[in-house]
Amino acid sequence: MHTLTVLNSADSLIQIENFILEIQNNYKLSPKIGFELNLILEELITNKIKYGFSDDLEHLIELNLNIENNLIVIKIIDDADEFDLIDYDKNDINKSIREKEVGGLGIYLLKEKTDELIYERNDNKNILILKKKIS
Amino acid sequence: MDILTENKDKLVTLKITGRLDTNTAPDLEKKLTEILDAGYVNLTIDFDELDYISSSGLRVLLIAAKDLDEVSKKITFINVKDYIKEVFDIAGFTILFDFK
Repeated sequence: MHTLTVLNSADSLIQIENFILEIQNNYKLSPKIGFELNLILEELITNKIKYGFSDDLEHLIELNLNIENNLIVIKIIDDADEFDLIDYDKNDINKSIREKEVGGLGIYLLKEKTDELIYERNDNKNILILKKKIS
Repeated sequence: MDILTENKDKLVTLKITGRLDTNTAPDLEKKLTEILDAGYVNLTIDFDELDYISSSGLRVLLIAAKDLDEVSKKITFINVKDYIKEVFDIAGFTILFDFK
């Protein structure tokens, strides 16, 4: 189990980049998988930082990552506002260039690059489990 | 992220090195705004040394694509890694750009 705890600040993205790079090297993951893991986490954490907290205080976001039998499982725990991204899908890829809205794209990419998502709200905390197959 | 600009015969080529993410996308947005405001419409971006792109980077490119669409022009991308091209495909952005 690999754990990283970050604050709800822009610096967290650099910590996540280094965390994923270390995992990628340790487990000899392909650049594509490393890229996709980084993308999934950036989109999730950026969304939380932008929209998840209704105060200006510091909050901790905990990431636990485990790799077993060609499956990467990441559990993210935080005390952001309740947000079930499984039901969230604003991006419509069929819209024309002029109609395209910029919002919702990050969550859409995250969902496309994840094989399974499980969300729970417990004790005023969000618990999101992301599963991604390696092959 | 580093951006190298080459301007030759009204064609602007940008070479982006490193990561185009939430933290660096504003730098590219500024650069693209400068180029488009100066009236350049023939724009090529070399992604050979681009390792990473997120939705923030895609958004900046989309904004520039919308501006150029008004004069029926598209940004040309060269040397795009497969896994980065795939993100453009998923986002439905592929038709907005010329990939070479």
